[in-house]
Amino acid sequence: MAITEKQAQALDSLRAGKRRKVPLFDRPAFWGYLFISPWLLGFLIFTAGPMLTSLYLSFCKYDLHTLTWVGTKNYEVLLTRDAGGLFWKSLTNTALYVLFSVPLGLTGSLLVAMLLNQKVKGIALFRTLFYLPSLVPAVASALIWQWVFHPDAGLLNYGLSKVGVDGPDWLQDPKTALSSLIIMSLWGIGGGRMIIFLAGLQGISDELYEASSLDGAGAWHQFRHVTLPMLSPTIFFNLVLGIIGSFQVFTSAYVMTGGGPNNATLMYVLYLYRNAFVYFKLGKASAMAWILFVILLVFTIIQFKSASKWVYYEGAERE
Amino acid sequence: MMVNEMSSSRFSALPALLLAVFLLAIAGGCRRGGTPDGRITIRYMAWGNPAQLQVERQIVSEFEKRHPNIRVHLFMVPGSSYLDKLQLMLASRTAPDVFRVDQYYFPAIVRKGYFLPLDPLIAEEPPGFLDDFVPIALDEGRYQGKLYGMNVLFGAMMIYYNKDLFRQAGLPDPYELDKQGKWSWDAFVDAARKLTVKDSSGRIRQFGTTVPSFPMYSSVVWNEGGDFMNPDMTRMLIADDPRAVAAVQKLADLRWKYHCAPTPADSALSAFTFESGKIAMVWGWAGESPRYRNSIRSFKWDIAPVPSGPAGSYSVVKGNQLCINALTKHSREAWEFVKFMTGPEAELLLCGKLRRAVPTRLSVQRHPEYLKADEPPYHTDVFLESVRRGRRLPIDWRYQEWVHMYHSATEALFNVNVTDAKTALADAQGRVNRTLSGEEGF
Repeated sequence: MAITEKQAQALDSLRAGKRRKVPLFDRPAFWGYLFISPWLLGFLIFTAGPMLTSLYLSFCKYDLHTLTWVGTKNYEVLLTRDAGGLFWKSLTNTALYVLFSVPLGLTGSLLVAMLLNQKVKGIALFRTLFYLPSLVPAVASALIWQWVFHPDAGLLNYGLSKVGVDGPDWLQDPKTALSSLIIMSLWGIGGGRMIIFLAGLQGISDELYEASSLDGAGAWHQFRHVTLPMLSPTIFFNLVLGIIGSFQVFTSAYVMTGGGPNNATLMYVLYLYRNAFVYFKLGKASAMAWILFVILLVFTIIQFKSASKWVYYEGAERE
Repeated sequence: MMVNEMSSSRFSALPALLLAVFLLAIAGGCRRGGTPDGRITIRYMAWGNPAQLQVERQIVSEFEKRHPNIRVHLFMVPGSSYLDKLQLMLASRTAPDVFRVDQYYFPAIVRKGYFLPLDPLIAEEPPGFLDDFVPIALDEGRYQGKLYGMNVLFGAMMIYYNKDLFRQAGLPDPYELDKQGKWSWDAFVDAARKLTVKDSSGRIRQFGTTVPSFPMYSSVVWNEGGDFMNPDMTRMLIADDPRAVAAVQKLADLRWKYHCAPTPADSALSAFTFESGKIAMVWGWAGESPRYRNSIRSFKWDIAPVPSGPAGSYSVVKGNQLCINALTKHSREAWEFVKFMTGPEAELLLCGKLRRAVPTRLSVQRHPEYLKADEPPYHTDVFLESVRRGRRLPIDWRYQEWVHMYHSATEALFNVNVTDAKTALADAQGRVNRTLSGEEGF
């Protein structure tokens, strides 16, 4: 490959330690940045900018009309004396939701994925059928679930009545409303999470199962000592995303219960939304967003720290 | 290495070209439509359904005919995002010259100083200009003694009832009962219970009435002699008032004691509606009549005032405010338009033809064209009577904030029967007062 005169000059000057000024359009980096600039601008303008703005706003009292710096007062009020204790109420509701919906959802998705990993006839059809519910828009499925939870005409109470149980008024009773939302969240077990599990399962090489069965391992031992360890990176991934996603639950509460009855389903993000766009307390809402960010950060760090104990990567040495 | 050679010569034009296109696009986007004919354009923002939009367009074109030097640019924003849009436009100083503001949040925004005080403009009108307006409608637009909004789409709560069901049950007509002064709470409950029908298996297939939500049920509390807040609306006192507690209990009894009103579960997903003939009487705003007129074909219906009580026969009234932007460059033209929108001609269109509101003009209330009705509801005088009995809602500038507290505390009473009015209202009062005593904005 021939070196042009220009490039030879550039090389010479480099060797001589001189920094010759390369025209802007000749620098590969310029073209690199130019081509990623749509994303970069989008990130700066629509993500990083608003994030920093909201951090600043969280130290202000802001109702869209007047902005006053109030220091950490938003955080103080939220943590110690929020009206009606709704901050802690919404955080508790959300924590309970995460506590139940994430493990149930992960287990459910894993089970479905294992079923759909069998070599049976028409498996593609089953995979499609199980994936279908996640294609229904969130608001539409919330409306369907309103019917499922209907105390008299609902599918759930009809099923319960067949086994002699008089079902509650799921969405209107403060005792059962939150459970209803958790049950509804299981609607998503056949979705993206299941697909990722399925991909993970298919990545486990048959030789491992063969070897373990030669060593006398039954189905349970194979699951416990082959499938689970080999799948642990996938479980880890789904767990991290699952916790983040569940903490941000909004649509089902917004559409089905509006946070009621008696704040039993007032989720953290729903309360944040109300502060921002109903009460126009944008400073307080920003503070809530940053508190949630810190909570999620802590959870994610804990998971990453614990990962070394239970996540196995193929081919990686364990100490 | 060929590419490198080409880069400097051929591609150098590309960024410059991109930049030029970008700048052109911005310049194009910024260009404003001028007014070559010398007319002044004022912008007017409102919300409403297509039928509402059609009437507003009609009013606008009538206005333009009479004021050839003014053009009105009407734009509708969906009701669900109207408040967000309005607040953003006001805060960014891009709000239109004239806009409609719902009374639910008018007190919260008027304090910010975005609205033009109307008194100086009214001072230039002939003396007695305001005398033609219903006083309570004007009161809604006042803040600290000054007028900042002219009431539009003014309306009252009333009872819509299915005449066929009343006739079949052999019950006296509520409208006639009211004329005789006998349309009391007891008469209302009696009718509601007799109009609740079960099928052979014991399931209810027709309900007598509905339970209105707060603040629509305020008249029940007032007519029992109770009230919600102290006069300057800094504290809620409903739970300390046995008459108010009794009134709220009576409302809950419709659902849990007499079973003559559907529970939220019963009425979920429109299982029971007035339009389907499965509810005999519903509480509703005057504004619901065009919808019922369009959708009800299979039975006769009309309107009656809300039931009275031992302490009075109040009804709930509420309107929207038509406000002028304090920053408008065309305050005179904007005022001309506001004046026309709330004037007799426009009110005859809005209240007479569409019959979704009550005229705020006394002259329109007496107008034969308004009083005659060739389509239901025929009892046009109920609109007027309801306004005559009208009382303003306890909407203050922190209403949006405390109403959620009030609702969530009373859900245990109205949604599931797990408490009584005394306990629920004590809870509600505690939460609302904690909110109101907390510092504003936090």
